[in-house]
Amino acid sequence: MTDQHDDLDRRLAEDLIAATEHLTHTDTSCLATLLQSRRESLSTTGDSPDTDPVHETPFLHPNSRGRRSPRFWPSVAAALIVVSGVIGAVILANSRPSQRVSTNPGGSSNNTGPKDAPEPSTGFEVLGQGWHEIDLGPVPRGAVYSTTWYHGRLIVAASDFTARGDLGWTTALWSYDPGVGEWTELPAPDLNSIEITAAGDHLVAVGVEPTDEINYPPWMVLDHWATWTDGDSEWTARGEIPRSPQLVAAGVSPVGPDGANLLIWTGNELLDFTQGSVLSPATGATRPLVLPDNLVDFGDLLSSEPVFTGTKVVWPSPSGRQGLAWSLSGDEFWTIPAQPNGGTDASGWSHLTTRVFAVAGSAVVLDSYPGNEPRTSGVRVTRVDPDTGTETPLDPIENLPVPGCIAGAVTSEDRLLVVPCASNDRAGTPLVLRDGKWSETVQVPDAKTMTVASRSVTLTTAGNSVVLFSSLVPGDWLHTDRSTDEWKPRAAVWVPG
Amino acid sequence: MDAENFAAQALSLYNSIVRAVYAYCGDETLAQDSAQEALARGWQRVDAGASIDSLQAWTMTVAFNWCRSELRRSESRLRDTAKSERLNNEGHAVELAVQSNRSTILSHETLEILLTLPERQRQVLALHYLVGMDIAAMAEVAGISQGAVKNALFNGRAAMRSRLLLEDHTGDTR
Repeated sequence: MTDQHDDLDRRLAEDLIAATEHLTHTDTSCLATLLQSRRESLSTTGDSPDTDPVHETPFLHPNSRGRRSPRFWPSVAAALIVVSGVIGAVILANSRPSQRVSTNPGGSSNNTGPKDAPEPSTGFEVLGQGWHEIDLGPVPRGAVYSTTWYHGRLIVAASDFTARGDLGWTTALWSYDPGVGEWTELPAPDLNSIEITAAGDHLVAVGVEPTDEINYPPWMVLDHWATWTDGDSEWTARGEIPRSPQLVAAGVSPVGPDGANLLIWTGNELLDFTQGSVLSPATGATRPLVLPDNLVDFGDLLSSEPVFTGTKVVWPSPSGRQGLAWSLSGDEFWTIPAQPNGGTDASGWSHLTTRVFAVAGSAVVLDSYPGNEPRTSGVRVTRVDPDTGTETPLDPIENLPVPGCIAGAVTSEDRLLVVPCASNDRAGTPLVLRDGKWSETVQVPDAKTMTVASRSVTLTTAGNSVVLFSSLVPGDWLHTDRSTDEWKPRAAVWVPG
Repeated sequence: MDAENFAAQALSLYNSIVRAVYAYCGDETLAQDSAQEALARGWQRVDAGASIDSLQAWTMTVAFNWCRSELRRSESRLRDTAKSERLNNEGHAVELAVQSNRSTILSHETLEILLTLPERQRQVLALHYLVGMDIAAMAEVAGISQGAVKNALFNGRAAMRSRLLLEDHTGDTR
């Protein structure tokens, strides 16, 4: 047996060394030149222990610092070749007049004139218990979407790379009042590829500052922000979001499962964990999120997600390492103790597919790994106590139509709603975690289309209800024909009993 | 410390990092990017007088962090790409897309097999066989307990053994 082990070890070591040999350097001068260049690049981004983090230039994605991916320029070349074919696309200027579109029963849409002051909303409860499809009426098709619940209305932001015809972005915002079943167009911020979130009385957008350069979608870094409140005629640009030197030093850029920024509204401040900043929507002020200098030592924490439990922001580490928690202002942090012996076995945790949710004061971690071998069908579920770090395994989610695939999940009050991906053969029944136990809900309307694994699905809390937003995302932005019905986004709302 | 001096001291460390990260992510460009970023940061911190208990562990951790962040960002992007292309609906889209993103056509079967293992096992096996780290150092870099490292090492070796034997057997019968 020992000989077999030795043989295996020898083979693995020799094979792996041979397979990676071509990447190594033997020339010190060459490495020195590379590192010198890297260090100068770091210096221009303010990654220095002496840098004032408030005024430093934000760290950008490596490709935004002139180190374009080898896949970038061919993509841009292809984009330029095709641009002539896109010129005929519909022009949607940000300055076009606001309009209202009714989507009352019957589904016909009609413009009803300029925007008036918003009316009170009753929320989605008027629809009654269960799932209901919402007619998205005027929302543009084939865009990248972000949704939030703001002042009793569903806000949908649609960002499109091709609609303007000059490789620039268009951004459109629509508001849906469930009480009257009406869509109203809102002003859009002067930002590209935006993500929106409600922050008290303000609607906040983070996105990319428009430039003369071609901002091809894959390399977007959302490092500018703007605010808007009900009744404003336009958005207020708030400028750059500073980048935390601790995050830069740790080499990380935490992002949500959809690749967007991790934004948490604590009731007073908006914490941006992707940039490592605290944003004050009321004043437009920014300051660095207080982070430990030894962030690197927190290991797997950096691939987890921070969540807001209602009393604090916690960033659990489901791996036996200590986690972090913040005060509501983001100005103070403390550590969450690590569990002896690593708590639950963390060896199989996937940090590409881990999702964290705040449920009834605790952090609940959903973990699956699409590349696991042998393929597992379920999703592991663990509750992490935000004070003690204690990890408690909960019943896993099993028998999923697509192995390990969750279309979307969201916390609503003391419940966690999880919607499985549908396969071609069957749709999974949405599940609710409450008091540590799972139960099934009724099926999403047309679930085999709405939740199929080939669509992007996001869930948004809307008062007591949850909105499921489903869309196809263009992979090839310029070559994709998005005029067909499959490119129309779909949405449904779940009203709990 | 000037660039030449630092590079002279860090040459073997660079090679260790780039090998390990490449075995972890299968992307040459990303591995080189991660190794250079980590060493540039390490150099800067050393010059600034920051205390780094172990430059090897610190830079290795930063390199894996960098790589993981980029993978997570690109994984999301590629998932959308794969979805739009409707490769299939059985969950294979992500893997196909991620594999297609690799900048190198892998031709080495052992590395190909390693890249099919769960993330943690890949990382631990890469650190063990390519860097020669002990259990404690691997736990430090991976951010997990020593017990979890042993688990990953045991399970990863077992998976590699069975897969290599299977590959060998398949090769014999062709």
